[in-house]
Amino acid sequence: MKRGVTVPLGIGLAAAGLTVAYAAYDTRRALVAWIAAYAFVVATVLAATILVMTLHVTGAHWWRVLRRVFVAVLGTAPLLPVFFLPIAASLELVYPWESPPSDLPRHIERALAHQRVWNHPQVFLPRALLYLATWTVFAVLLRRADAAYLKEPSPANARRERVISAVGLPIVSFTLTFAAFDWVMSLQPGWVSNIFGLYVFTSGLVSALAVIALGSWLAMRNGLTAGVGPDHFHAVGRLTLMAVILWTYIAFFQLLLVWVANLPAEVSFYAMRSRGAWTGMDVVLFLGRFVFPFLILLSRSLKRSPSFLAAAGIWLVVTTALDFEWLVVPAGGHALSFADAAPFVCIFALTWAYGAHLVYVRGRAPAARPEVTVDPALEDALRYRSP
Amino acid sequence: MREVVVAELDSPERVVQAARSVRALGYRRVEAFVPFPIPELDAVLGIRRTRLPYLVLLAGFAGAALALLIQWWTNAIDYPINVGARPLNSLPTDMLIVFESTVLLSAGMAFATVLLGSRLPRLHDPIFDLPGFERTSLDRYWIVIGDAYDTDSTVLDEALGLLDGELARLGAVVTRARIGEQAP
Repeated sequence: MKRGVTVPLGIGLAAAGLTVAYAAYDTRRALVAWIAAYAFVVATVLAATILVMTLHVTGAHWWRVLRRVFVAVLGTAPLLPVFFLPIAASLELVYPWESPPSDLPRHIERALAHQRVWNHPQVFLPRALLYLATWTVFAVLLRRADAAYLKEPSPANARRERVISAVGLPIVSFTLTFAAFDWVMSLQPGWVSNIFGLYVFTSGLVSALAVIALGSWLAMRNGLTAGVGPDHFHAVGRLTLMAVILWTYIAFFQLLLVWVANLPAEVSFYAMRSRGAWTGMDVVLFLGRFVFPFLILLSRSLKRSPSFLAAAGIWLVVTTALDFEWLVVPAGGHALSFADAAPFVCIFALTWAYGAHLVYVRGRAPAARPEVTVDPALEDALRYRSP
Repeated sequence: MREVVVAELDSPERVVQAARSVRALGYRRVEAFVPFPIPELDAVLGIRRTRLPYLVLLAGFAGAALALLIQWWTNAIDYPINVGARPLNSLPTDMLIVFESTVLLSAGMAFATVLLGSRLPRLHDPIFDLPGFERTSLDRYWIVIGDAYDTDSTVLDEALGLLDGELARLGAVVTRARIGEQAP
């Protein structure tokens, strides 16, 4: 096995051990952190899926030289059901609609009672199964279509990718939104925000692009992406800047609407996140996830530098993880804990290892076939010059 | 008298090659007129990237600062109104105006700078007098060698011969052109 797979696999398994120890020490708290880490990876993988589907539907060609990296990120979706198992097994430990805390205000009690049917485990779990099955199916379909296209870059195979993407875009977008409502938003009793699904998506889009930038840099250094140049990294960097701005926009408008309405049930979300160590996290996210990346990514020459973009990618992956920690953990009134790093590293590293494995599997495929058919889209990508 | 050498070519690839050979001969004042942007041409002609983005960024910061200042002064100092016990200087609601004002000033700066930088308010340029110049917006690719704005520029016969010899293999029509002779 390649080092690109074994190293993250080792890190992931070590972190899994630490996570088990964490769960043995405080099961409830570890599970909350696990949900945060899981939501982080789900958002990243699905944002990559939506990104690739959009690229297929719009007929973009520039990314074809990095195709293997893009497809590997979305191709990890079949792992997502596995990581959901601990959550499915212990809903009553964390979800307020399953075991309501005793000292809730009347209006929140009423809201939970209202949710009881929709969030009953016998409704909640089949729904979760439906989401996970949908994502797995689309990831496998896209991976297969990608392999078929690489084998024979015919218009029919290009059309197959486009059709899967056009059908999948609304379905994946809706299931992602519902999953965000079900798994994350319902952790905070009685709190609702219509924009929440979009928030999770845009946050994931930042880390999806960051992972793609980092993966592309590694793939380029290992000679896996022939013909990739500063122009392709520039395009990824521009999209990353867009994602950073989009996340800020959504996050800001969620805050603004709550601020303007000033209703107790809604303000509780921000009130819980401005206590104790969470105040520091607010500042870290505002500066580290908007001000700093925004100003840095404005620079054209920095976006065109693969190693810089990879470094920015690491930064944005870490701050996205912090964003999900901020989103999930305070919902149950929990304090910030460094032990939460274990589940984050565990799920992310194991998913990364699987993605790296997909990159290497793909690496062998083209060399095996003797005749090389001309891929017009790849030709376009090799000629791509960023404005 | 303003004299320049004009080379007319019929494809984007050839105009890039022609520009490269003219630059290789040592000519510094080379300008190209083409129907659509050709990215390689900038590098060949030695055109540096514009510094416009820095100006726009500065204007954007100025817009944000101005909006913050006005809202802080009107809402918190000049005419304070308590809205549901929110702070008088309510930053989240200020942000909308800050954003709009940032966009307004930076877009205005970009627009004005591009307009003035391309000498646009002037409707006529001496170079338009060249016969057939209008085809540079259709299907012809021109290279102009020499300073079209220097009233003393002349073209030596040897230079014209040299350029003709160099560019004829690309199918270029190389001519000496006098511009700005008719009064506008």
